[in-house]
Amino acid sequence: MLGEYTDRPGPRLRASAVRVVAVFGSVLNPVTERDRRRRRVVALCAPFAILVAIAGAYPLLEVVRISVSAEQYRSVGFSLAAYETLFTDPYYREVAFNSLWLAGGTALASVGVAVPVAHALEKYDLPGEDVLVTLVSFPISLPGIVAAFMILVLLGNNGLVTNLFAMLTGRAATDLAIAVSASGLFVAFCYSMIPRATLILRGTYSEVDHAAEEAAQSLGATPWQTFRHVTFPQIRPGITGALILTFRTGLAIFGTLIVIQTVLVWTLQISRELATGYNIQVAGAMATVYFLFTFAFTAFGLRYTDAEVGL
Amino acid sequence: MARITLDSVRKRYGETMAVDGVSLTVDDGEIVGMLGPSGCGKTTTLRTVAGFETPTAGTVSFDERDVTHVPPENRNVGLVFQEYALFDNMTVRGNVAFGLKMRGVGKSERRARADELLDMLGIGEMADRDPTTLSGGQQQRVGLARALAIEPSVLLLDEPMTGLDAKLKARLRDEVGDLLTELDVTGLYVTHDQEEAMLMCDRIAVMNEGRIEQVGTPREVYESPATEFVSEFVALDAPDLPFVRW
Repeated sequence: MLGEYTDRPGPRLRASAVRVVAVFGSVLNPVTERDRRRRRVVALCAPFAILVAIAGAYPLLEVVRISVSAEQYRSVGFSLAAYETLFTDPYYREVAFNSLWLAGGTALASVGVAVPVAHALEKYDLPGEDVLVTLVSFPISLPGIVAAFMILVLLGNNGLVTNLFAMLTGRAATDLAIAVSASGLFVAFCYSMIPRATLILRGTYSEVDHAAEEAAQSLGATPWQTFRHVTFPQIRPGITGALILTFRTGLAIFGTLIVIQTVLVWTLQISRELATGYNIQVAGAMATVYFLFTFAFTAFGLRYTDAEVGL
Repeated sequence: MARITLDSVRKRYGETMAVDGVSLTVDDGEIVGMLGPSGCGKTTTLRTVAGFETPTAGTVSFDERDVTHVPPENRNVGLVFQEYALFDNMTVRGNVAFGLKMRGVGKSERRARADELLDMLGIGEMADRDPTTLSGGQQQRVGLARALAIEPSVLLLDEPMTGLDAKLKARLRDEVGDLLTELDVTGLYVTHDQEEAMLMCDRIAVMNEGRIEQVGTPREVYESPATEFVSEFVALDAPDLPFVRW
């Protein structure tokens, strides 16, 4: 009889509400150690919760509201015209495609480079390791605009690498310069993303069971076989985490694109929507789609990793 | 199985001499214990035999073959670790069959060999289990089965009983001791536990500060210690003598 009773939604809902009220009550007036612990957790998380509500949830809801506004300068009425534009206009499809391939390619290339770097840094005692770690890590703190500038200095018409290749091949530097091209942009993106991927992978590598690697070697596995069968399964969560992080950050890059505007991507287009004609409904719709996509992508990706990327 | 010969092996890390002129022969089918306190160089010596450390000076040979500079994967050494070092991404059977897989042995053959060894060690019914779900003693048996599966030239055991509770340790000690005798394995058994060394090994090399102080049968080491250090180290917690392998 009890089963019959609790299976009905009304009483279940009431029971849940009672539990929630009881939890709130225990936070306000803790009695047991569990209550006190709960209260400490609430106290520790409260500043962030307030920040999420004020600086996260509210602006996001406002952006969504703007995206469905029927008028340009006021949030009134309801219209899906901006979304219709986004999903039907081939121009926006191309912008989306550009964003995906650039961020996806950057993620793959960055993680591809970061895996051996993290492997070398964590597995071996390298001379001048502190300097190497600093060199690998410092681009994280560089704004994208500076990274782009550095790519110009290296791969532009007067760039060091460009002129070195020009000298070696006898070709004109202007024919070899790739800074202001999709390739240059790709290199700039990788330059910013490799340190991030390395950071995550170094953390993952530090937890690799080196004894298991040695066991594999003693059993006849070559270094490559050891990596494939023993190391790789251990770092896979880190690789997934690094791919999520670099892909997501690749989608968010904007500063680099201000200098190297050779590929039109989502963030740059949002800027243009606002700058040209103040097309705020489409900009809002783009921001909303962007948020939903990255949120869903991260949530999906995290099902396959326990790496600390977070939503 | 092969004879292990260490000839004047030295291993230096910067200013620290971890192994200082160790010479030792482990005969074919013999189990020699390397006994000493923490940091005395016994594990470094074992790692040098395994190929994970290259000696600063001296040579390591298996029978007549100088293996000093042979990489670990080409030494055919079975290694049993204190911390088990099992492959968590494989089943128990996968762990035991791993070395055979690396040697290109066919699937059915390596499965049969793995099952045979697991049965021999009394954990045959756990072949399909995730190794992380096993107890410490069971994990160590998997580690031993994995090392023996490749029919190694030499078996190296690095404090394999450390971390196990006293009751399990006593049982595993008897079982593993019998198994190693039965398989006629050439082994180097590193431990800081005097009782374990005396019960498991044919001979004992007592190490201190990177040097071997004495090599002898458990009775010789116990009854006629060559140095004061051996006397003090071995006399402590002396085992129940009638059960010692001598």
